[in-house]
Amino acid sequence: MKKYLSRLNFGYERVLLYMLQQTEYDVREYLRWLRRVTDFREVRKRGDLVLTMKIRLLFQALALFVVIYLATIFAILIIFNQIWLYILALILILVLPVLAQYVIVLPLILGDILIKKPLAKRRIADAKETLKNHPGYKIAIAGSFGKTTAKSVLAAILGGGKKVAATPGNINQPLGFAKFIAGLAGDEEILIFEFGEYRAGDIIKMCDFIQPDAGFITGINDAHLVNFANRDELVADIMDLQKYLGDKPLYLNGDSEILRKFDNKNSTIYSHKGVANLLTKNVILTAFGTEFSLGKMKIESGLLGRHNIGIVAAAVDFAKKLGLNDREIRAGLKTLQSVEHRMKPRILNGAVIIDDTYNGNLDGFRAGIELLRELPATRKIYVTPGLVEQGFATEPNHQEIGRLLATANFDKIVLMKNSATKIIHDELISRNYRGEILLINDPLDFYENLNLFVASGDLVLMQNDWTDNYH
Amino acid sequence: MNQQTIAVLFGGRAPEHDVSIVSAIGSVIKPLQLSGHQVVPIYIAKNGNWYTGDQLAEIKTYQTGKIDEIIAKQKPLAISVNDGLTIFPEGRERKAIKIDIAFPVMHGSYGEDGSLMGLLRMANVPFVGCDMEASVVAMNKVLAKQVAEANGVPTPKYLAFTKAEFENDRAEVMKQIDSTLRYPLFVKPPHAGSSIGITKVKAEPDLANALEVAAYYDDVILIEESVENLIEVTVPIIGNDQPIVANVERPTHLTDDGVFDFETKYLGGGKKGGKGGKSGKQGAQGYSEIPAKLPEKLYRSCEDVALRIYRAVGLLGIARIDLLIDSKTNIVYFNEINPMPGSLYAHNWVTKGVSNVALVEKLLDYAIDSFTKRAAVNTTFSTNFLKQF
Repeated sequence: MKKYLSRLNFGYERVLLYMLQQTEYDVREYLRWLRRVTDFREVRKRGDLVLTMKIRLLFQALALFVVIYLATIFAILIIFNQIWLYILALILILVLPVLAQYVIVLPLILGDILIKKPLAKRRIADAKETLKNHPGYKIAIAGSFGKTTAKSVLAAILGGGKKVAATPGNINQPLGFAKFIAGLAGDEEILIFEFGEYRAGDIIKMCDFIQPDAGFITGINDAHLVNFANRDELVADIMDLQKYLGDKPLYLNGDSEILRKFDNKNSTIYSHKGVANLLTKNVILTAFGTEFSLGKMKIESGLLGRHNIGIVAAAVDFAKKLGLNDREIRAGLKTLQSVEHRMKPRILNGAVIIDDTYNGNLDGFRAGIELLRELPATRKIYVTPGLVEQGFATEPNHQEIGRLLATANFDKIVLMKNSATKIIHDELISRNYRGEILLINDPLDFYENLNLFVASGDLVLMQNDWTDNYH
Repeated sequence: MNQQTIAVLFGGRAPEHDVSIVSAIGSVIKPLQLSGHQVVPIYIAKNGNWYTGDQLAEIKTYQTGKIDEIIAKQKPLAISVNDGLTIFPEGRERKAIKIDIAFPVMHGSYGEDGSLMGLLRMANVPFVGCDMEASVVAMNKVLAKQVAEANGVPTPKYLAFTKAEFENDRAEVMKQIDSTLRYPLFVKPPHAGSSIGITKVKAEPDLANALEVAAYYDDVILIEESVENLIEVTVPIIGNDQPIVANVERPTHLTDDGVFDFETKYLGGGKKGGKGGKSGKQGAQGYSEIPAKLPEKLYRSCEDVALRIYRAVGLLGIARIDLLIDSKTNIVYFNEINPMPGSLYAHNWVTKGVSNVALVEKLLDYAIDSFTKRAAVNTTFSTNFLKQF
């Protein structure tokens, strides 16, 4: 009843449009959010509707539907004028707000079938053709986590001696690839593609499209598991890259337990201990980077955490195989910086804040917690809203986070109040965590006032951030 | 500690009314809310009326002038001091809010000078900061200097006269000053805060005017020798029985007169062309050296003097002690006490590893501690006195 009544307020249509915009017009994601919402007045916490042309068109379509719907009801009442029809009309008017939340996606579904899909198909076909004639060596990066970091590491190190182009930002789907390919100069020596897996069959489709010459699989865990029948299906999907590559070079992250099982004669395992026969030594971790030796080469990386050593080592090894010399590799390493919101350090009030808010998987959490545990600080503060899209693994994964945090025993744990952090909280209590737990109702308010929470000597790690559609 | 109802009192009838609003909203209300407390803002208007409401906890209410509209529409609140402090927003009994801890963030008269603390003592509610007696001494520069002297802490040589003494026999007062003190002098109204009414007098012809200015702001006039080769520092301190010192801070934006005045402190102060600062935006806190670059021994001496004063005056919770250093002789002089430093001097505590949120939490703990100790003292005594009549 509360959910129904919360629809009956001015601005309800803006809420629906906002939800569509936040889910990037992904109808399935929007419908999932609809099921989760308990009060439509509480949806917009982190942002507001941006009035784009698409939003205006959707609004107009919805308004048109409402007008036609109501006009039809009143017309029938006027024409037939029977008591039972009045009752039916009242019921139809009452269900209108519920109906509207589904009707609003009809233009999107139609647009998808009639315009978007055919257009995307054509663009992808064109891009496939362009790529066939492109001389570049193509590298695919797949995995549940660490892809964007791996991409930036490879782009930086290989870029020390080759002309490299990599898919920008979070682009990891075929249509995005098509746009990226359309913008290529044509003389790139190396092309790097990040393969995102959202549904079964995604990776093999991308392999057919890109036809990579080499691959990196950065790790497998329960990220995006919600879209797969089970973990095996997710693993099989990602490992399609290995099947596709056959005897072509493939690097597997050995720090990821699942991946170690897939090591074969054609693959190279890398981890924080090194890559192939090159071992890492003299590792020094700081809040601003990592130093280590790889064979005879001394490496200074702006990437934080032991978990990032492996990919740097792998990229160095691969660069050597592609013919880059030490000078070129060093030149590439100098350009290597942490990616925004992925273990990115900054100073606030003399405290070090490590922004890892794009980290949305258990392995990433584990690595972050380990880093926070290892680094020295006067006071250690851990901040998280928990993980999303964990499907059936939601409870065990959050219990594991609670266990890790209780063991690490940081001074303060800040939890954004939601169903996931309740599991972490309960785990902390059951394990007699002795530090302070702070439950935050308004994450945005917390982030905006972080300066009031921290002081000189503090080390703060912020892992993951939930946008409105995950609440 | 969480989930307590904290009344934050701010505004007030003193010239520092606006400064108090900024201190309260930025450095107290927001951190308290963030750490999960129920915060009740109590705004004391310039006419002395008390108001409450959620909008009063937002700085834009004051910046946009909306506060005048709110005050015009809203009835002032009523309070009860029976069995603790209870407030009745707009005077309505059904809206009663019982206060667990009061957090005065008032600067200057009626707020920082012990008046409010007296009321809170009567209400028998725990409150943050110095108690009544210490506030009275702290906000009376003459009394504070006397306490310093009695405890062997150097303070610049001084004289004090009542306004009546000055007005009845100006010549005698000026003669005494001339014969006792060495120019240049500072003439001050001892109860005024924020350097209001302070004049630096370099020679006798300017003295009469300076005395008149001070007499305009106070009924007592304090005249003291200035410290030469001056380094001015300030020492924020928190705690009760075991006070903790923040970093010794050196303001670097003094006016040409060597005075750290209201404008320089709160308004960015570039207009007077003081030394050490650029055209400013951040007020005093933007023009400080933290920690002050002083020789180790001198730095420790500053901490020691500040702590001695803190204990001697009986300060509790929070305060800031201003000191004057003669850089040639390395003598550290006590200058004055601020029982409620602007914005809690949170910018300094942050450099010491105490966040603003942690700072307000500690202050609440100190408030409970001092309240508990006060409550343990028996103040009633049964006698047969009345039966004899």
